[in-house]
Amino acid sequence: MNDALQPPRPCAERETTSRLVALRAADGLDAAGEAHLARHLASCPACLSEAVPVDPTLLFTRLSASAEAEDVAARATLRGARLHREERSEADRLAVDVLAALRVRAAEGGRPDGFAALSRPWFKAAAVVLLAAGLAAVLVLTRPAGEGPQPAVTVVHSAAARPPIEEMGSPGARVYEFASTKPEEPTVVFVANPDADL
Amino acid sequence: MLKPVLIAFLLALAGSGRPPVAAVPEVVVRVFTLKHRSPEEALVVVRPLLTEGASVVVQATGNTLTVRDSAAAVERAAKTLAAWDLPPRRIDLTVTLLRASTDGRSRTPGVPDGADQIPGVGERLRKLFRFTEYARLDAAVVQGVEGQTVAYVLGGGYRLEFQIDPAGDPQQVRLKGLRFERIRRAPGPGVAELRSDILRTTINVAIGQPYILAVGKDEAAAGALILVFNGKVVVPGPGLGGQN
Repeated sequence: MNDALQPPRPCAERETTSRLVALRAADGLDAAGEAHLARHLASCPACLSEAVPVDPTLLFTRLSASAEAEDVAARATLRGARLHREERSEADRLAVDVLAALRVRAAEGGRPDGFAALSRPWFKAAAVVLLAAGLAAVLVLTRPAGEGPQPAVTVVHSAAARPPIEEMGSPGARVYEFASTKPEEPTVVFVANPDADL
Repeated sequence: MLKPVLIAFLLALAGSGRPPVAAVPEVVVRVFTLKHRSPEEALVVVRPLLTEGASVVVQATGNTLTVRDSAAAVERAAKTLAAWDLPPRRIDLTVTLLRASTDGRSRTPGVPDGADQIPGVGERLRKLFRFTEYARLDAAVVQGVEGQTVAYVLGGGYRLEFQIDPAGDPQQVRLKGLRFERIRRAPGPGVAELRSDILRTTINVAIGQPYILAVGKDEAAAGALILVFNGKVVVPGPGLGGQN
C-alpha cells in the first residue's frame, strides 16, 4: 500500500488549533498564540489543511515558521533531520497545491491581462470553495510532484481600477496579491522568484 | 413519409439563409486633433472600439487621427479619446527599500522597525508574513512626469528603473517595465558594474495608498526584499504637448 495515498493523520491538538485559528481570523490572537499556532502548523499538515481555508494568509505564516524550524533541524541528528525533511516534504507538497488553488497567479511569461486582486473577505470565501476541491485532491497526493493543478482563479477587481500587477517579466515567478480592503490599507504583492538575485 | 418533413426542413433552412433586412448604419468621418498624445498611440486606444469596416488615417503632421466608421463607433472613440488625451501628470513617488528577515536579533533596541516607519505598512506585513525584522536599507523620492523613464540606485547595491505611465485611471499610476536589479562592482580595475535581475514586472500603484512589492526566493524564504511605493500627484501636468 502506498503511504503517499494516506490523508494526514488526525491531530491531538486539533481543537486547540481550531480555536486559535478562529481567534486569529477575528484579530484576537496575541503574539504568543501566533507563535504557537505558526509552530504547530509548520509541522502538522492535518491542522494546516483545516486552517488555511479559514484564513489563507496562514500559509505564509506557516511557511516562514517552517523555514525557521528547518534551521533548528539542521543542527539536529541525521535521523532527526531526515524525518523533519520528510514531514516538510509532505507539508510542502500540500502547500504547493494549496497555493496553486488559492493562487492569485503563477506568472507564465507575463500576460498583459489583469489577474486577481482579491479583497480579504473574498479571498477567504473563494478559498473555501476552491480548497474544497483543491485540498481533497492534495490530501490523496495523486498528482506527481511538480505538476500543479490548473488554478481556478476567482477575480474580484475593484470598479475600474487596473490590477496591482499587470505583467511578470521574470519567468518562473509566482505572484500572490493581497488587495486592500480599506482605502488606506496597503496593497501587498508577494513574488516568489527562484531566480531572483537577492 | 419523411419526404414532406425533409422538404419543410430544407425550406426553413433556405429561408433562414436570407440576408436580414437591416438599416445600413450611417457612416461618418471625424478628425481628432490630439493635444498631448501621438496619433500612433491613439490608434492603439481606439482600434478595439471600431467596427470591421472602419478606416483610420494617422497623420503625424497636425497630430491628427481621422476615423471613418459608424456614428456609434466614432462616438465611442471620441469619448474615449477625450478621457485619454490628457496632459501628463507630475508624480512624486516615495520608494522605500526594506530587507525582511526572520532574524530579529540584529534589531537595535529603541530604534523603530523599518516597516513601522511607514504608516500602516508594518502592521500589514506582520499580519501576512512571519518575518520578524524589516530593516530599512534606503528611501528616495523619485520625481517624474508621465511618459518619463526614471532610474534610481537604492541602498548602494540595488537599482530600480521604470517608466511612469498613465494607467488610464486618475487614481492610479502605472510603473511600466519595472526592473529591480542587484548591482555589484565588476572584478578588476575600473568602475564597471554587474547587474543581475531581481524582478521585472509592470505594476499599478494607487495614488495616496502604499503599495508593497515583496520578492523572495520562495514562499518559505527566511528573507525577502520589499519595495514600498507611495505615489502622489504633485500638480496637474504641465502639458508637454505631443511629448511622451
